[in-house]
Amino acid sequence: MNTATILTVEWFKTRRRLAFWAAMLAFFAMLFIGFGASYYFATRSGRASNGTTWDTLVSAGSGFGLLILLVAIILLTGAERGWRTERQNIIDGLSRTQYFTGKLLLVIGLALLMWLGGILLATIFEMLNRALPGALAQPFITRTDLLLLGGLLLYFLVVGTIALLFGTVSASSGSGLALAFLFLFAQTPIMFIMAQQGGVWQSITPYLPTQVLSSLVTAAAYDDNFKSAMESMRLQKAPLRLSASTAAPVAILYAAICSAGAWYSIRKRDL
Amino acid sequence: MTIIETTSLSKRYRGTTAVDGISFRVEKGQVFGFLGPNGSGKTTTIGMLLGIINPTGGSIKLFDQYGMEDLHTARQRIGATLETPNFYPYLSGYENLRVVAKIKNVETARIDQAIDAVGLTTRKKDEFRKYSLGMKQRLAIAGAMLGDPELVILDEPANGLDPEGMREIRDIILGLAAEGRTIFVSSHLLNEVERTCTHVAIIKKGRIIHQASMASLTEGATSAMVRAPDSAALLAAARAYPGAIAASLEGDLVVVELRDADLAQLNRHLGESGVYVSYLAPRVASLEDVFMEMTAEPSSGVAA
Repeated sequence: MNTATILTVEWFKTRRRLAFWAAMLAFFAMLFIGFGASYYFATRSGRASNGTTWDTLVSAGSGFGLLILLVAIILLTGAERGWRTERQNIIDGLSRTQYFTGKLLLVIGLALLMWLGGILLATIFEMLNRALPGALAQPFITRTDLLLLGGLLLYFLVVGTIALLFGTVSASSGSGLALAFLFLFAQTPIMFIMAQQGGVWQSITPYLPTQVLSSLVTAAAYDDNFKSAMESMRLQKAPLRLSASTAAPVAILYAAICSAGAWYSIRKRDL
Repeated sequence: MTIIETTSLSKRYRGTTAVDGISFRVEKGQVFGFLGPNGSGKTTTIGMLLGIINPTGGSIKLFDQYGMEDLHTARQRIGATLETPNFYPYLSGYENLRVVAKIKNVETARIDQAIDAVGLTTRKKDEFRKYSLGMKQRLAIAGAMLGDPELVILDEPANGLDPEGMREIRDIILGLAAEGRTIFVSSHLLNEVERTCTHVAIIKKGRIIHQASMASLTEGATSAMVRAPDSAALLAAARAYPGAIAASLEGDLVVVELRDADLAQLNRHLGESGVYVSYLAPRVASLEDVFMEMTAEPSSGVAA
């Protein structure tokens, strides 16, 4: 069975899932509201907001996208275990690796859909903003914006693989969601405690998953002066962040570890 | 051709032995009943045959060529259901079979044939979650049949069904057998196994305690049921019969366990003893008799 067939099977299962459509609707509605509000105020105030659209996409997209993607992937993968369709797919002829490949393609597909859909919406609103009287004379998109968009795609992929891991190791989507939220929200207090300790503990904080993700979608992380900014943070005993050039390979490593964990779980456990 | 062969197959879960070194063979064309009480290890065994439960010991060989590492390849030639029918509740019966057909690389046109074969044509567009248990079981069999499998494995297919549903499933199994397929069916329903299977293995507490053809398992009328106006005199005369192993009173009938099946000799002995019988018939052992005898727990004394 080739990858295209696996993708077709996965799409056939996904396209009728309410969770999928609800997640996409929620994500794009949130973005639309964000862009729409900005455009509305620009027309009312006469102050054009062109140039900020990409920043809005990255900040709002990563904020909502984190939760929406996490929930959607866990629901789409975890439910198969509850319904025992994961087991039946394999009885019917998929190998365990093919089943995992299907889920990984789902993660990549959802991440791409959210990313491309977000870019499309942002492009439309950026064009609308530029057509307003008093629009600022600046490039349609800057180099930093492009880098941030790349970071956003990587961000979605890492979040998707984290969700895939929790969706596959948990006995149900409910327990998968609980684990995922615990994993995400427990990091903030832990990170601050570590930062307060200073020294080695503080130097570990930028490598925590949420900090790595955050670095990918922070414009300052793409700035050449980022290292000096981190030095002042170090003195303040605050959690640190990585520069984007360091965060990207670490994020890829996290995605690889989560994917490998999900694959190992599907391959080794009794179904 | 041996379709299924297991050797010392075992599965242990943290201190519990679910399947304890079982060995059996299923030959081509057999309808093989895997019979045992609930919790005896039937589903675990099937799970291991299908490669979705990892054995902790022993080996499996399918179709005389596929070992444990090749179970994925062997599954291309198998249609199977395990425990309850497992489908996507939000998809219709037809759409669920489309998923199965895509996985098995079967033409979409075959789906309608499979649905028709199990009598679900009028309900094929309904969501799976709205199906009755009997309809779910039939859809599961239709899914197993897609891909024209040589081996059909059905786990408790009649479980939870009403008599009408059981009859439908039985007819489907017999139809599949008539097409020459090898069928491995697990059940705790003795009557269903007796009516559909050519061979049977009885499993208890993870161990196979008997394996034979259905005919050899139940053949040989070694008991006789006798009625006479004077039951007490009949019982005494039956016990005195040299060919009797034991005799007991069941209602107004005396059941005599015989060393052979010669009822004429028994009748002559009773007549010579002055007991004239009004009813004399062989009692053919049913699978239930054999099963109960083999799986009966030995009575144990209660410690004071």
